[in-house]
Amino acid sequence: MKSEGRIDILIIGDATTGSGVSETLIGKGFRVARADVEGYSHRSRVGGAIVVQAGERGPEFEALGLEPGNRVVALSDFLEALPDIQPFDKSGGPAPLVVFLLGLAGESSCRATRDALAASSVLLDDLGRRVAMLYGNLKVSAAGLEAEVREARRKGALLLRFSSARPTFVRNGEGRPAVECLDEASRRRLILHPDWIVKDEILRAGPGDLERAARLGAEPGPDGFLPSDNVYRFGLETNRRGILGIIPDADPLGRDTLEDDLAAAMLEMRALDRFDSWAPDRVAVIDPGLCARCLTCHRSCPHGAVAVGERIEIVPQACFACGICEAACPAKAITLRERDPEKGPLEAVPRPVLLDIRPGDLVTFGCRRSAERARALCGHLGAGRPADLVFVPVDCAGRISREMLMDAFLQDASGVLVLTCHPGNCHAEKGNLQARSRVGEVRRFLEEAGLNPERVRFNTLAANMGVEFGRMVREFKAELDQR
Amino acid sequence: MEEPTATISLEELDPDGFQSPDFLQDACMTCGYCASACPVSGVDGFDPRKLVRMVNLGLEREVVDARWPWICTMCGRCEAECPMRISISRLVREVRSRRDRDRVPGILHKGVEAAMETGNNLRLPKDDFVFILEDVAEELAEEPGFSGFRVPVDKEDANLLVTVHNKLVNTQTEDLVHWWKIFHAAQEDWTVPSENWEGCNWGMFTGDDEAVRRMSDRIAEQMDRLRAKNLLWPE
Amino acid sequence: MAEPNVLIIGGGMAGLTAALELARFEVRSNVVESSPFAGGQAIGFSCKATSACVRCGACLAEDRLQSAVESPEIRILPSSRLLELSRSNGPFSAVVLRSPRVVDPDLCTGCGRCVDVCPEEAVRRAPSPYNRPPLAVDLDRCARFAGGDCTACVDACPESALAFDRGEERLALEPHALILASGFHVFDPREKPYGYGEMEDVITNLELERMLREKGGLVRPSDGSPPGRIAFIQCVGSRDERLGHLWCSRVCCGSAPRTARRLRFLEPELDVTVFYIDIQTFGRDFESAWNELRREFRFIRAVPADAVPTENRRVRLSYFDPETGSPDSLDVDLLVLSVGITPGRDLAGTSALLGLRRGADGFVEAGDSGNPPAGVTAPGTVLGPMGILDAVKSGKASAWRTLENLGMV
Ligand SMILES: Cc1cc2nc3c(=O)[nH]c(=O)nc-3n(C[C@H](O)[C@H](O)[C@H](O)COP(=O)(O)OP(=O)(O)OC[C@H]3O[C@@H](n4cnc5c(N)ncnc54)[C@H](O)[C@@H]3O)c2cc1C
Ligand code: SF4
Ligand code: SF4
Repeated sequence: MKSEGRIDILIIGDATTGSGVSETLIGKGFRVARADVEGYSHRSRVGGAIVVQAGERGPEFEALGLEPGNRVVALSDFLEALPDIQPFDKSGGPAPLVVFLLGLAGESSCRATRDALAASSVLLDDLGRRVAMLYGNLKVSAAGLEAEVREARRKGALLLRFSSARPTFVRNGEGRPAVECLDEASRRRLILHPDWIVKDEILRAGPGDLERAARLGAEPGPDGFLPSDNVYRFGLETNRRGILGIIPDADPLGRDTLEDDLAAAMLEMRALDRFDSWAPDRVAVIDPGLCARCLTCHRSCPHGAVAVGERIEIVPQACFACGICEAACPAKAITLRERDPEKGPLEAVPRPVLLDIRPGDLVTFGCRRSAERARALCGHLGAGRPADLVFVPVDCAGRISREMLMDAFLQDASGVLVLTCHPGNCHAEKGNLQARSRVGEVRRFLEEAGLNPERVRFNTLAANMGVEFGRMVREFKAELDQR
Repeated sequence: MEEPTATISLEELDPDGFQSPDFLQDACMTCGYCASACPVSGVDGFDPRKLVRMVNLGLEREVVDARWPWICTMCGRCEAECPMRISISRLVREVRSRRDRDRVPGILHKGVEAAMETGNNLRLPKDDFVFILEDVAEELAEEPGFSGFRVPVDKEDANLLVTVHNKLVNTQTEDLVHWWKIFHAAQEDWTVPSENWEGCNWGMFTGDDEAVRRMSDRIAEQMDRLRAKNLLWPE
Repeated sequence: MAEPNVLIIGGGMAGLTAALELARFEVRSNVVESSPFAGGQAIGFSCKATSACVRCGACLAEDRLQSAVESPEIRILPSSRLLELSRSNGPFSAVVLRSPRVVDPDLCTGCGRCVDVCPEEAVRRAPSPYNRPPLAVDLDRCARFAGGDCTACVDACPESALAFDRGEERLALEPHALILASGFHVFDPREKPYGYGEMEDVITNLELERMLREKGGLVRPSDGSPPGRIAFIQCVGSRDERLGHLWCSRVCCGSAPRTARRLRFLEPELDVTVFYIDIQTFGRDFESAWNELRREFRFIRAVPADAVPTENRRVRLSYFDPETGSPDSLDVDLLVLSVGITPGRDLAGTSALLGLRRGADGFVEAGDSGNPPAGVTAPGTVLGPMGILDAVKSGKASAWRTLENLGMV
């Protein structure tokens, strides 16, 4: 790799063939290398990495009580076999039937609908076959698909829908399968003797996909694919900056916009790599003099930005400046620093401090992305924001340390409210969860000190919850006032 | 409710039996709107979606032989909003028209036959018809505000020629007066023909296009005979 | 090329995202927004989280809008539209017409006193506090604009932010590239037989979103009471050849169940029924979510044919139950129509001005098939129905293509 000079993008994954991902990237002037996850280290970042995932397509015949073989095939296998199917001679009797099963066991996908429609168009137009599609939920949300379904119907494809009932499968003496079903619309029992039974395949992340994500420290979504479905990843980025996830062959949500995904990926890569020395304007920095090498930061960083070597260091390109490490470091060796706009040296970002608190105030710490915006919306809507509220915005709730919360009590705040993004919505994945455990710690602390633990409270909200912001603050204040 | 018994083998059906650009039934996405809209859905196992689907499957024989397609009242609500613009009522008529005429359900079939022979579905003679109208008119004339009311039978050069649904001179004569009251209040210049007055065109229900045409032609003839300017054809 | 700049038409999720991405490359943009407030449809939405985020994407609207408003590279021009466009060699020449600016964005603090005093209710509050200005005067309602001499708002404003002597403005711009992100139009369900516009308790999903955002809960518009039973009808105005809308609107299958869950979270006793044709995949955990949803709510695979008021002021839906094969009806306190996504009202005109081709469905044709003229791209729902995240990604892709056109990547 070294002899090729700088690499812009590393393609990680085993599905690059056929997907055209590397070809596209090379065509756009990126220098591309392929690798598997072995040997990939964020520390030695030479560019970005795109994780190309294929997943595993399983027809999952058994879920329907179907036995594969003898012309019972998976959709992708049928597409391969299609060119070899001979046209049927009409004089030879009634045309043989091809049955497609879509979404009858597990949920189908737009991709399966589109493939089945393409195949049925060939079967009807060129091969003299009849076509029936038996479906659970017909997936038609991808662009143009509804019109394609209409066209297939016009050509004579028969579409039978199933809500709660399911077809059953039997084999005759020669082992040829037959399909028995109750047609919902006509309420008639039908038996079909198809020439082929073609079942859609469900795309699931394979062990390879899961292992790759785990090794990269990149959070996958609930389906096992990268990126996670945290909306702040925009369906592309991961918790590790510069590692992007693309699923070329079948987007789980029925988009077939690989071109857009790639364009967005290239944009991200160029934005990060535009200058060889790209670095964010805000990073966490470890003071080696104070660091005790306890590795708390390494464990707590959700972005894999803490590199453990001779010294413990934060890789600036990987750091999201959430401040989780700063709040977690027992030695107080970490501070967030920011560069002024003229790209000067890094200066410390002051920790939020509480000025001018009057005894009895309600102090609210809130994440800028959610709580501060909700607070602004609350005021804008006139939704009852208490005037005497002390609001302390933080870039990420993960930066809220136990000391900050205690400081409020030391200054005689009546109560402390911590407002963060909802679980699953934190751009740092777990800043909100960190804050929640800090609140738990402080509650215990208050209890031990003989104070009422209810004086500190944790709540979650989103930027568009202005009314809820007002409600949360008012309710808490009313409870505090009652004591 | 007539429910499925035997299992039907799809291969033996010919789905092309009803192919026609008039119906577009292939486009049906079984959304079920029509079945929800139909006022007689569920009666004797009828629903419009079922009819569309069975035609689609090629179950021609069963649909044509079945009684339930005759439940449809031809109101057309099903197709008013069918998202795929399927001509459901035309399909119903087509199904009905494929039945041998002597197997058309009794009353409808007899009605059409009667209409073709006598000009109305009841075989009601001209004199009886006029008698009924006059009888009801006399009663109306006794109500306040209607004194002197008469039915202008066979009046020439009237503005409106009005047809009469046979049930209004049969079991529901009390409903005759609703229209009359309006005409009276509006001082309308109207008339009823003494012959071929039948406003209920059952050929439409049985899918008999020839009957529909004959009946319509007759009304047109009455228009010409009486030189009426406009036609009011309340079904 | 000195100081490249881009003209973006439409300040919704797609347009603002394109602007933000260009800003990362120090490319300036002017965002022409026809409404008084940028942010598109999504800025009126609400969070649907229960005990955790459900990935509806609505909060991204605040994120995009605030970031764009604060970006020094982005200038948002509200109440404006593209009037003329021509191209010689190199940059385009564009003329943008801006409606008279009554509210000065630099002076207005959004206190809302004008809202309270206006006799014509012509002063509208922006959907978001990040809109600049946060208030706007609806010139069609304003008595002063109709020739009267009302000065109620001007007198009430403590900041002297209101003025009626600022006329229309014509801005001449020379953009190097254009992005058409003018979004979609929400289907108007008046022509559907569900009594929308006649019964107060029949609302659209868009109105439901706004109600949740502005009120934080659900009430019946007719009497302000909390509903005990509600129903959603899906695909209203979508999947409909009769209307010329032979497409799935793609967002409603996610929106209705997520909203239902949010409402149930707020009101555990709420009874919810969803009428649907086919449920489309939404969310990466769709399969398990769908299995749970079917237990949580009643899903009926039927399209009701009408909605009529009952004597006790509920809404009666009649439908044909596919499971029993018989007609049935359901009385609800509130009916929500999941109205679909249709092409923008003036998309024909704007796309023609930019030289973009539209498909038979009326949306702009994507990619090469749309054969966009050099320097022009079109992201977001101008291409067809899509959700917020897809519109964002599409905006990113558009920024990439624009940078390519500008020779910058
Ligand atoms: C009821 C409803 C619920 C939804 N719920 C969700 C959800 O939960 N999750 C989700 O992901 N998506 C949801 N969506 C979809 C979401 O609204 C869209 O994905 C998103 O708004 C698309 O953004 P856009 O920028 O493409 O278009 P828009 O939001 O339409 O923005 C376009 C902008 O351009 C402006 N404009 C229009 N014409 C012109 C012109 N000629 N000149 C200048 N400016 C112009 C408009 O005023 C607007 O500000 C929902 C949609 C609806 C209708
Ligand atoms: S309304 Fe039209 S598309 Fe829907 S089921 Fe009836 S015939 Fe089919
Ligand atoms: S608005 Fe939607 S995406 Fe944002 S936190 Fe709420 S549920 Fe999650």
